Amino acid sequence: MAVKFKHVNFTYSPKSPFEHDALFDINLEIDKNSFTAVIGHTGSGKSTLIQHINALLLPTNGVVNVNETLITPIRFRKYRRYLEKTIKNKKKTNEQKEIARNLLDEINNFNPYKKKKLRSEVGIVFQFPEYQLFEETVLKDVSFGPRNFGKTKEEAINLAKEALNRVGIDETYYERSPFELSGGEKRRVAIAGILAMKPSILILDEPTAGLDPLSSLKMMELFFEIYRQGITIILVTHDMNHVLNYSTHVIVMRDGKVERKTTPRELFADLKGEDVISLPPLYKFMHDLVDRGCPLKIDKINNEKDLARAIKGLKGNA
Amino acid sequence: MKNVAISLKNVSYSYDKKNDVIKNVSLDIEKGKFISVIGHNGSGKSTFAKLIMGLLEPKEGEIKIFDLPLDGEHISQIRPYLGIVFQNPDNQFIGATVRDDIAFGLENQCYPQNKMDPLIEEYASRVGMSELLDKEPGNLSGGQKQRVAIAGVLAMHPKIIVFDEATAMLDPQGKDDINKLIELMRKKNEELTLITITHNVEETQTSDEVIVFNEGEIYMRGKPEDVFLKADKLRSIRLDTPLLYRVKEAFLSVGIKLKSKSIDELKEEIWP
Amino acid sequence: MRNISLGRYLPNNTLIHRLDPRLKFISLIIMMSMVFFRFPSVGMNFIYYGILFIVLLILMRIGKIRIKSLFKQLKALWFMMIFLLIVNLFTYRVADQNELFAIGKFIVYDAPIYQTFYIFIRLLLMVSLTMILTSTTRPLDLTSAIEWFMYPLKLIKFPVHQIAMTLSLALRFIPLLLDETGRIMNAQESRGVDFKGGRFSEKIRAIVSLMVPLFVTAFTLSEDLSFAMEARGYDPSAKRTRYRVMKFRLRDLFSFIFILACLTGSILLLVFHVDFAPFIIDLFNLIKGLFK
Repeated sequence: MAVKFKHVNFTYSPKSPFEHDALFDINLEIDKNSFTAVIGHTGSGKSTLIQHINALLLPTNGVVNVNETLITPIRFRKYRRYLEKTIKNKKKTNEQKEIARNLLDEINNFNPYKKKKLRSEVGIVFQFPEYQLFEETVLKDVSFGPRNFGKTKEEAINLAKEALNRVGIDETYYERSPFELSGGEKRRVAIAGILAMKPSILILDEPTAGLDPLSSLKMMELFFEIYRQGITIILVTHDMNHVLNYSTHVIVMRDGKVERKTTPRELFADLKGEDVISLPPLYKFMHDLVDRGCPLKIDKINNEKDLARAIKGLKGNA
Repeated sequence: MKNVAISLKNVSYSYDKKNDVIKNVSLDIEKGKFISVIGHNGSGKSTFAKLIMGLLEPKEGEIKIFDLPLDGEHISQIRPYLGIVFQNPDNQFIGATVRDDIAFGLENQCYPQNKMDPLIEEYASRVGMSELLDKEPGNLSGGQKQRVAIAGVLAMHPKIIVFDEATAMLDPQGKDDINKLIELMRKKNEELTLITITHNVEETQTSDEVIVFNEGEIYMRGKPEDVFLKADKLRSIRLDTPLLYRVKEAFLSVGIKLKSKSIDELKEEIWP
Repeated sequence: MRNISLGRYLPNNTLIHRLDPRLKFISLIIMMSMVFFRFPSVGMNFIYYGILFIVLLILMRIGKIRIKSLFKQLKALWFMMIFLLIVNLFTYRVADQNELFAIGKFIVYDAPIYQTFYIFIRLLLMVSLTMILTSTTRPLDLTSAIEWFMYPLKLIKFPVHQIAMTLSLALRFIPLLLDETGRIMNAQESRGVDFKGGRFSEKIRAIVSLMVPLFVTAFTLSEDLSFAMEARGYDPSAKRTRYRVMKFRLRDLFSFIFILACLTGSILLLVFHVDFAPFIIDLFNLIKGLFK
């Protein structure tokens, strides 16, 4: 297990006129070395969820366990005392006491997180990451992350070069200003900036937003390659093609709650009405064929060619 | 030449005076047509949009709108004919509320103040934003903001509307809303010349013509069925074909020739 | 990062909301000046400020402004006032001050204490007045009012319309840029930046990593905006009509007369050295006597 959420609730700006509940009793586990997709409508809580994983946001209640260290709403020891008090409090319901016991269990088995260490292990690539570039040269910008986590200048530069190589940016770019690059190149440099940190958990928030189909494909292939070399990837996306082709697990969020955790195949086997909009065109097509009575096994079909063969097979047997 | 809405002759453009982003492009676009312009990022599509809107001046060549030259002398005359919806929903939302934003264009045209409200309400309702007239942009979704942009453009009664990757920054729901709205606009007004610039080929199937840009030049143009049959040519410049054509191609490779011209026909043909 | 709630416009339909923004603006200036009137007797000053405060409370009630939020601001003022009190005790000297008591060799006079209190009250009144204006007037209407007041500057070719447009665009985009700042901070914090702690050199790096992307965003925004505005026919130097117009109505006239009356009244009180203090004290004693 790489990440575990236990009874996590989150409220933006509590006790202010802008108070807004974003996450409700989140309980979920993200497996180590998995490629987990997180999907859901805009406003379902996906962004809020991932910001808990590197402690950008602290839960309003509950704990987040990342790489065997715990993120708690308030200081570790204070929270432990709070939970102990809750269990003894006669005014609390049995349900509340059970939750407190559950959380206390985690507290007693794990240590509190250390911010700098956590941030170096969990890399987040936010949407349109090219907007975070700021240094004078490409090399300097990519080595910014490693430098912040204590690497020496030389170590950081080596890590930067390695990361840039992975995203397909060669030496001719090293001394150039990031602002002279094209949109696609900037994005790759920004991603290299996160890869250079060598995180064990890589979180990607719509990494292919705004890219043309081919660049989008190349980028996903890159992430898949990194995944295969050993890393936990969490992908927040609206693109169902990505979910289908690369993920091992899917978490579906709805209105701040986890609706379910499943596999891509199972997800596409049974879909609800409004979600149909985000279905890749091929799958929508196949669903419609199935509705017309065609006995297609959708989860066995990956592309148009498979579909053609399947139909040929069906017709051949008719 | 009364049928030609937009005409380009040997137009070139460069941002940095070194590399040409648009290279010697000539083309005519007929009035009342729905044209899709596709091409990879950096192929010149957005620059093309700004050139025909008179926002950029060509380095070389000439552009005419309804036979009037698009230059400093005539620009104020031509402006009212043109409308554009840009990619970033926020960076084109000028007013403090939906109302104020739709009013912006009317203010610039010196529309009489006491006649603005009915017009604003009319166009807000056409894009489905009647309930949200007093909302601030911060409280609207991307798709809603784009709908306001469209209302603002429609309120000026242009004859040519360009959608410059208007759905690129929207979520699937937003994309769907805008595409449906564009189809509706097309049905309601056959005189309107619509140009969508996109790299999502699925959106281009119902267009009258597809223009493919590559490296600042026109690589191909023609009806969708003619352009998308050349799948290899498109893939060589980082583009793909819509589902309809991919399915037909796949079936052809296993020996089945399909004749359908639309997705619905295709479903019927495959499984009657 | 959008939680700047104090003084923020609260949509409503009270009388004050419906007043012409220009009137409210002028009234603010007039009433601000009234706050600085100073009467010779201490008692009269207190009574005067008391009356002003009551008037303000009434206005806040009419405008349905939450008085609680005003008191939240007071918390910050306390420290400042205590500090000021100490400074004044040592430095403020006036001819006719009275000794109150002595701490060893140090004599505590009454004048510095009154002075500190006056300053406190004035600050409170000014903050309240401003809050009444900003809570009941849309930012856009405020800019319209400011633009109207700047009209005379047109004579010296000052670009009034352009400045007003810039102001309203700034208002429209400040929330957006604030959100963007938050986003950039998240991204940089995720790369190990510590915006709160760290050595000086680290702090500089942190600020640069925030400022540069923010500027880039702002410039991109400006460029996109200018294309969008031009495409919709905007010409800074050309004539254009306005969707929102300000209408000076009867209620605005009456409000203006009321404000002028207050001003005149206060000036008269000041000029004729009127002092209600003895009168109030007598009244107080009378009431006390009635209860005995």
